[in-house]
Amino acid sequence: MAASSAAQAVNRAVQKLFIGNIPWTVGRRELREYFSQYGHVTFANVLFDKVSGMSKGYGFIQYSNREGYSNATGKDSHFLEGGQLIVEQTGGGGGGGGQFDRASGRRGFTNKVDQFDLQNVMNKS
Amino acid sequence: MKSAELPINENVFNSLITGHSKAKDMESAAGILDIMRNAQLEPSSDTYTALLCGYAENGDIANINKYIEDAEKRATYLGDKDLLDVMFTLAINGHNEHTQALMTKMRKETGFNQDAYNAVLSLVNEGQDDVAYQLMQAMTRPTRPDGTVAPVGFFFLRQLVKNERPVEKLMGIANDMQARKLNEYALSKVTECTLQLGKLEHARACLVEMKRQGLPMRTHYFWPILAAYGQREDGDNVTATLKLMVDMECAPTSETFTDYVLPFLSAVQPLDLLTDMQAIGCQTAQVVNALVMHLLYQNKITEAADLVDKHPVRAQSMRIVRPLAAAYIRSGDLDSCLRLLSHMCEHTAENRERRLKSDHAGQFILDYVQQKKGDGLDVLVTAMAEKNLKISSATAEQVHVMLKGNVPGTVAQVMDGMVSSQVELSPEEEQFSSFITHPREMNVEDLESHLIELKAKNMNVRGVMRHLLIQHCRLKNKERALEIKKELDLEGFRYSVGMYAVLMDLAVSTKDLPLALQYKGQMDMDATDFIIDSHKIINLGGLMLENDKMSDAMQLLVEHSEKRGDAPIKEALSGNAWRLLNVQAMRGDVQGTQALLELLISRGYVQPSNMLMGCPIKAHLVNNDVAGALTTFEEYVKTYKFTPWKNELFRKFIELEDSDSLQKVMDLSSSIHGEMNVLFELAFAFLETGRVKQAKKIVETPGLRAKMDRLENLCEQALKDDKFTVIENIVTITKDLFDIDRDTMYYHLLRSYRKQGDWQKALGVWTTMQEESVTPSDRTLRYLAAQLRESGQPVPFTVADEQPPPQPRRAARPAAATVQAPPSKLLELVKLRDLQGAVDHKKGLEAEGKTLDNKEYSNLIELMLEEEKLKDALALTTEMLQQGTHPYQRVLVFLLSRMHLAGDVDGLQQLVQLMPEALQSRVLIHKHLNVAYVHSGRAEELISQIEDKVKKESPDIYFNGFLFLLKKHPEYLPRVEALANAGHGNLQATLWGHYLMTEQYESADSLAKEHPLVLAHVRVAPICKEALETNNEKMLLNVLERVKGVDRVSSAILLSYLVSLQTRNGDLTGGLQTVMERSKAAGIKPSDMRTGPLSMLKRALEANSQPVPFQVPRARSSNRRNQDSSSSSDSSDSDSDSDSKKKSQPLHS
Repeated sequence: MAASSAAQAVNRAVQKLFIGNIPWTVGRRELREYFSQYGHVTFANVLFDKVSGMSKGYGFIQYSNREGYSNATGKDSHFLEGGQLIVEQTGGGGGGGGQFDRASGRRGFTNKVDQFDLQNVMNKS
Repeated sequence: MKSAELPINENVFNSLITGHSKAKDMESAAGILDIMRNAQLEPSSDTYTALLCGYAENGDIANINKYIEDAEKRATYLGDKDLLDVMFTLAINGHNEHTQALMTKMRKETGFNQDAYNAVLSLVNEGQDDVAYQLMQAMTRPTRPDGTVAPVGFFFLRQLVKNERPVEKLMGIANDMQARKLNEYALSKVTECTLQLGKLEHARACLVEMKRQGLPMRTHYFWPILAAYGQREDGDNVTATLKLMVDMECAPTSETFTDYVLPFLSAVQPLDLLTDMQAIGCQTAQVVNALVMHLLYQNKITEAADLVDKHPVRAQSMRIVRPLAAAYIRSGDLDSCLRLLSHMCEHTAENRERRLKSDHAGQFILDYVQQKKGDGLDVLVTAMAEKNLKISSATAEQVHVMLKGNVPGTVAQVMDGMVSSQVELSPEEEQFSSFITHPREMNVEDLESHLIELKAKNMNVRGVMRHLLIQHCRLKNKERALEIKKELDLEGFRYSVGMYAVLMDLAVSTKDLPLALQYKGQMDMDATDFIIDSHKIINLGGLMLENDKMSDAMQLLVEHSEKRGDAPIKEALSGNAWRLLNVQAMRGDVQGTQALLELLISRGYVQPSNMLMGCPIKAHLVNNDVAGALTTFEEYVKTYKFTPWKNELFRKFIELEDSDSLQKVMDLSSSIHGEMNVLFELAFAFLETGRVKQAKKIVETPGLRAKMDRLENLCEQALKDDKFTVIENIVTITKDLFDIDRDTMYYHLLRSYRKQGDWQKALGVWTTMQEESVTPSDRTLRYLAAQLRESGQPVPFTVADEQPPPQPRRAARPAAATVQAPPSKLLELVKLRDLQGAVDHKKGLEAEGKTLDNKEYSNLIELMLEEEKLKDALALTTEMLQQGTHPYQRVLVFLLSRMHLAGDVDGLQQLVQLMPEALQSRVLIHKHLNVAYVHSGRAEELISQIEDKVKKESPDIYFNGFLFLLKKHPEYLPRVEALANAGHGNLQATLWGHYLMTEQYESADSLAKEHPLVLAHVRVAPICKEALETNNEKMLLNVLERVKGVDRVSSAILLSYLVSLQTRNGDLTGGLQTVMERSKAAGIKPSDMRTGPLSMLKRALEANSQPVPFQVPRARSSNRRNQDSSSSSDSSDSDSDSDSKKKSQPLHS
């Protein structure tokens, strides 16, 4: 059963999301409920300050499959109880480069190429 | 003022207006406008604002309106901020009735919101909540991306709470904001602020109001209140709050108790607390679970178990098992521990719908083993078995893994008896478990030797054999596995289903389909609810396909998925699935491949991915059906947002010169990955197909920024695939691009040549770089040198430092260099400072025909020097030089310093003969030699020699060390001056330095006048050191005065030393002046100066609680390293006198 645990761990990391700017009213259960609309959530938490008892305003969710993850990251913006959530990929060193733009379009190269003419390139001149 | 000839400007008039207003003399105030105009001064908006504010104080709205119009007429522009000032004045003077009128006059131009924001905060501070509220509503509301308006006024509410408004007022405004649809979350925001600011009474009232409005109540809303009361040890209010939670139908959870109640109420007895909580209506289960955990944290297992015995609630086992294991390890109270554990396994509060029970007992064992290894494990598991606790087979295996197969026989037997197929590690447990390791970590050798041992003792070997069988199956040792199986068969061993599964997998991996099917049959016969790993099934399916049994394979996959049910697959199956699909794809069976892919996806084996969906496309291409491939590609892009087989399609269409299809693949891919990324891949595809010109056109596309990391990735990829020409082409086409690190590109090219073993081409790179005037980095040179040496070629350049550099964080270093040699015996002896032992060991090695490596030599020489064995160190160094190597530069310089101090001219001259020229200049041997002359009292001889050489115009004249010579023997000054006049620039600079150090400024200046280049050649470091030693600030200032503007490096060094000196002398003002002003005058930024003095000053300033108006730049490690190694080896009485030295000074411009 442990044969592919390393790969699983990688998969999990890939399907785990950092959620920021969470309103104080939102707890673990509310966060899970909200993100469940995009797919099966296996894990959700919101971090609390044990001394003050207040929410730290961020947390994590993890999907059991790629689909939920893609659905959630594919959406432009997430609003929950008056706050616009920050949704970011976790682990794996943050992806970097142009890796992440399929999911959100937020990372990677954002500026468009001025002019690109394939025909011109193909022309053997 | 006029008589004092002070300028009377607008500000003066504005102040006059304000003054008159304060004196309630508005007539005179308004009269100022005319006076200004008479004086040819046009009243500005500030003037009008001053006047308007004057009227505002008196609430004179008529005049306010009049003068606003007046200003408009005269084209004096009153901004929103001005009007806000007027409105603010009205409000704080109690004329609220007019504020609305002013608000209508505001234009709400850019920046209005910010000004209004500040005004709102100030108004609230002044108690003008209503005006503030009005103004807040007048602010422009931001819209969200989806077009709806965003809620506003959070800052206003916060300010109200901060200013201690009564709770009724707060809720009144919040409710009003909600009613006006300004902010539907107003009340919740007020509550948040009261919680954050610790206004607990308010917070409770707000929560009640939220509940009244039908907002959901959540447990965590009460945590800040509980925590605050708890920290004040206010038990009554804690209880009251818990009661409130119960009343508001938001009963406290066990988490509430463990985190926010119990830590603060440690004095209360658990049972009393439980009674209290029950009295106010808390759920017993939540309190008991929390108390159990709380007691376990304090190692009170007995009390915890007693509590559970008395109140047998459902245990939140998953949370409890870890603290229990920890408490057991600390206290050793087995009896109570098992009482609690049995309860947890029996009465667990987890999801009842699960088919299998969670393996809490197993998790407990794993936690125990992780900390205690096998220690006491036999007692524990035996006791657990007696209590009839069950564990999963995964746990049992895991224990073997963690103990590396050294599981005592009894433990293994007992555990085997405990295993039940009704128990499994729950997904959550697995998620948090750190124990799951790869089975390969279990050591087969250990198991085999254990088996022999057991056999010799005639003990039960079944357990070990069973494990060995599994291990050999996993390692695909078919022969040995079947051997063991035969032995087990003879003993009449009853195989578990799991073992058949492993055997089947072995048969599959050795491509033995009949045998695999045989084991599968046995497995199916035997099985009750056992479910085999999905990857084994997929692999079997692949083997069936290879044997042309397509329909069997499909049926197998369907059957397995049905048996498995809806349980989520936790394995990564993509690789297995790809191999299966690939079998069919390679046959060109498009439909078959697609059918299999769909089956795998729909049955939940895999998620769509580029890798898998590439298979049907590959099948198309195998059939040479490019149109079909493109159609399928398009379908996948649109349905799944994946671009499978993209690069292959690129290449295919480039080869076919089908630009329409190519364009289509590009457009589709761009929609997913963005155009930039796709263009890079396209360029790479052109390169791979040998179309360099086209690739070049792409990278030169305007707007396409060449990303170094992308280029490096491409190189890396090409290198991996041995596509050497591709690398060459990448380097070529990026030649003229902006912002490319050419050195790195060439480095990759060198790697490619090294991989091909072509040293001639590699050497060609070096030449090319020089032609392109690209400075090779040390890394590049080292790399090239290493290759040349490997090929037995001479190295035509010197490599800066033969030691491996500190590893850059993400550099790709050649694999060979990372291999660590085992620590040598010699190095150990050196470490123990056993010189004699080390020397003997060396002799022993040499007798065996072995030689020392560079590191061993260097360390040995260093030890000799430290032990004052100069002769031996010199002999050993000579030995190395004769072999064509040399000790680490650091050690070599150490040796030379010792020699010059000892005045060992002859020894140094010997070394000069042996050293290659480049090394000579790197270690400044001639400086050491000349200084040695001085130390040995042979200065006269040195001077005469050099005079002689100058006369003969000999090429090897070295003036290094002359500053020291002059310091020791000022009497030689005329002779040195004569030499300098003969036109030796370096000596002139030395001379200049000597003049400065001996305060002969006139001589210095006339020398500089005669030879202007002197100033650029001067090495200031020795002068600085002298100044520091003699505490001579003036010397530094004098030098600085002369070199600033000529040499930035020197200026920066001088300033740094000046700061050091001033700080050391406690002259912080002077130090600060040097950093802030003097440096500016010399054109040096503080960031160019040395870190050490700057941080020294910074610390001194901070110690005196003075502000630090500059930033200390981050130390550059590489420069610091050079700096330290050279300066530490410099003996203090010699000067450093070389150009190479100067380059190593830290100047970052």
